[in-house]
Amino acid sequence: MYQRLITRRYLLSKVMPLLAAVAVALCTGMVLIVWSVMGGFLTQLLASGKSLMGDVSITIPVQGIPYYEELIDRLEADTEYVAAATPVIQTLALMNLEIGAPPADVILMGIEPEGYDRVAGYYDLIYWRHIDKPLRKDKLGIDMRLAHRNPGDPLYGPPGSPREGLRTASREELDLLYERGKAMGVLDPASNEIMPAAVVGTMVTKFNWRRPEGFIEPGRGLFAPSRTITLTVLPMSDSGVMIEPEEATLPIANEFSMGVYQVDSKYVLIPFALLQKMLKMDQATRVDPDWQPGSVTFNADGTTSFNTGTGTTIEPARATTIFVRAAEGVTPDQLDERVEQIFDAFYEEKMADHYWRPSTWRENTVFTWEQEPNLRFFIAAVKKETTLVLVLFALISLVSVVLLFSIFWSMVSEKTKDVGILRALGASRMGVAWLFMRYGLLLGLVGSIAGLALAYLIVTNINPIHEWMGRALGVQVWDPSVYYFMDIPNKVDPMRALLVAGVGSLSALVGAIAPAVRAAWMDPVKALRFE
Amino acid sequence: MTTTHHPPTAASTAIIEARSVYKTYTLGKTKVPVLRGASIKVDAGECVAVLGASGSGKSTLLHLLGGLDRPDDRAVSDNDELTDGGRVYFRNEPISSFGPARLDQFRNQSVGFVFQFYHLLPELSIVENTMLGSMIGARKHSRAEMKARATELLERFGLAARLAHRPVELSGGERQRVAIARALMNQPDVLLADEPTGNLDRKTGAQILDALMELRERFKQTMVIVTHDAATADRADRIVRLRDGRVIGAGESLHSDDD
Repeated sequence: MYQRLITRRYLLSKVMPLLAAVAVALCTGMVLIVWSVMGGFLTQLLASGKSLMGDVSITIPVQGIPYYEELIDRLEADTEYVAAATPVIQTLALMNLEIGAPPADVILMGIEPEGYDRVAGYYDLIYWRHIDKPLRKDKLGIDMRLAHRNPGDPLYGPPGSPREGLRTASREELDLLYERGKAMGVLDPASNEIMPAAVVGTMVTKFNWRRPEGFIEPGRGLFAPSRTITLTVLPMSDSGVMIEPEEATLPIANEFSMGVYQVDSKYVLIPFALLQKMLKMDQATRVDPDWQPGSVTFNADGTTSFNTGTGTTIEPARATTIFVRAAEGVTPDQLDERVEQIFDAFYEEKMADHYWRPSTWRENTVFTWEQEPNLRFFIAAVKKETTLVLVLFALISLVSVVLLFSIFWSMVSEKTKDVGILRALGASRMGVAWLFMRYGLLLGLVGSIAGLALAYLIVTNINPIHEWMGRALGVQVWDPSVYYFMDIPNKVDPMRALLVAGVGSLSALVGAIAPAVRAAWMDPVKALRFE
Repeated sequence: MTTTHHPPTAASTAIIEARSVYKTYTLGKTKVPVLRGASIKVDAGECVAVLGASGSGKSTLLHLLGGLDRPDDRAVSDNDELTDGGRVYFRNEPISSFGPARLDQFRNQSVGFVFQFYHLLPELSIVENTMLGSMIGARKHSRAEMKARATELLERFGLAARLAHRPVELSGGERQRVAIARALMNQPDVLLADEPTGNLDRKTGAQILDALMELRERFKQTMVIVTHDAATADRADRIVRLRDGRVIGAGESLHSDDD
């Protein structure tokens, strides 16, 4: 009974417990912030690669994969392992924007939108579309991404609309943009035909900038989906010989955002068939290099025949890559093994006569997205960095525990005389020990809850805070081009929060146990004389 | 060297008694003998003053009587005899034989301490400070009952208007009255007061002494008052003088039964 009364009075009486609770709050808050951001970084990294290329890819960069439709059929037939597969062509390209910016190199990816959506969730990446959940500061119920648009741009509504000064695209306009992105095509009013169009990463054109509220909006007068883009590629023969450059000027149908800076600033998507054609990877009739006109063949039955024919051969259409998504419950590594088996059989049957296969094809042809050559080294570096951060995290946690221990030691020491008084009044050793442990636990709980609230506030607002730091202090800690992601991870995992709060409270309890036991076993006469 | 034991005398009338107690403290490497075979016997309803100069061992004797400390296990007497360090008896029962729980109960129920520096918990109100001993002890009373008893005691000591105040808001005399009320909360058999007026001015000290004497008169409260002030000691029934850890002379009775 007396423990409850004294604990309550201790908690409310002096500055010291308040400082201790603040220390607990800061320790738990700091640990949770570091864990949320760095842990979120790795989680986001692992998730992002998957949304670019599915779980496993088969890649033969220059020669390409012939009869890929058949390979995809074989893969999709294996429903136990494979949920979906789609052909893709990837190549380097030069990009020119109509406004006369210098050409820039981009990674051009030819996709079949529907198939790519089934494998990598492409439709979810399309940026300009109606959003059901209002953005922050969207008090007028309008899409803030387009609130600062150029009034002269045809996409935007007429001046003087009810939403004066904040005119924006209507729901219908955004739906139209979304449909264009999904179809990768724009209706040509002159011919009434759908023209192929490009979907570019939100940071490719450099038209957009990131708002402190955490979304991307176009600069004044610069809205990519109302512009065109000219792309130049260098087709190569299957033996790697360069053919004439090919150029195509396309309207931009929409933009996409994966939230990964290297992807959003480098990738341009166009229809698969168009890129296939530009790179001369479509089905074509070519001159047969083995054809010898007029040659004579001596047959086994003793007769002879003249070789006739057209001297041409049909070359099958090719894709450089096939992305494969795993069926429910199948891990990327399991899928990788299965795809290797299917591809191996396919190769022997369809490609062995014409395509050279290096001995290390397994490592270089079929891989999970984590082993993808461009991502592999980056992921390894990030994993190392994350390990380093986790070591630092452990040190921070240790420092927090020691700090709490020190605070409680000094607090209980300050109360030594109270121990003597309570013992003189007949309190037992265990009763006194429990009083101080209870005090420590309660302070730990109060501090931990405050720490969780603090961490939640900071982590969920970390991007606006970061933007503000950039503007007000000129500090940019998180450079998207270095850290890979457009945004700093801003999610607090509830389980992590609980764990951190639990450890925080426990640290306070542990910090209180030793001084509590010391107090309880103290000679009451000495405790009464304590100054 | 021979060993001496101090068995209890049969059917002692004392409510509390220390027999030939020795206590030595260690300060660094030096052993400082504080009590050297001191004895005191207090009968029920009696008020005994322990008078001595600073360092004579009077507070240590009080701590031994109240079970806050224990006599040495072994000691060497003035006659160079090895002795057992003496014992303290409460109603003829040696408190050294008490287990920890019984000893806690003894401090809680049988004795009440009043200290020179009041020793109130600064975070609690005076009514809560007064209730503390009762709250620590066996839960035979409800919180409301405890509060009623604490309030009654504080009213008796003239603190009715100060119930919700913190000790820091009270004068020294008022704090000491709260300390006395706290000591009486569980109706102890013996009140042990360690220099109860030592930290007060003469007038306030006299008022505190009057309050203690009123307890003796009205309730026959058994008391041991440790003091270095002869005038304070003169108010007791009997004086036990301590010098260098030894009781000198027999306890002199200052008042006849008629007083």
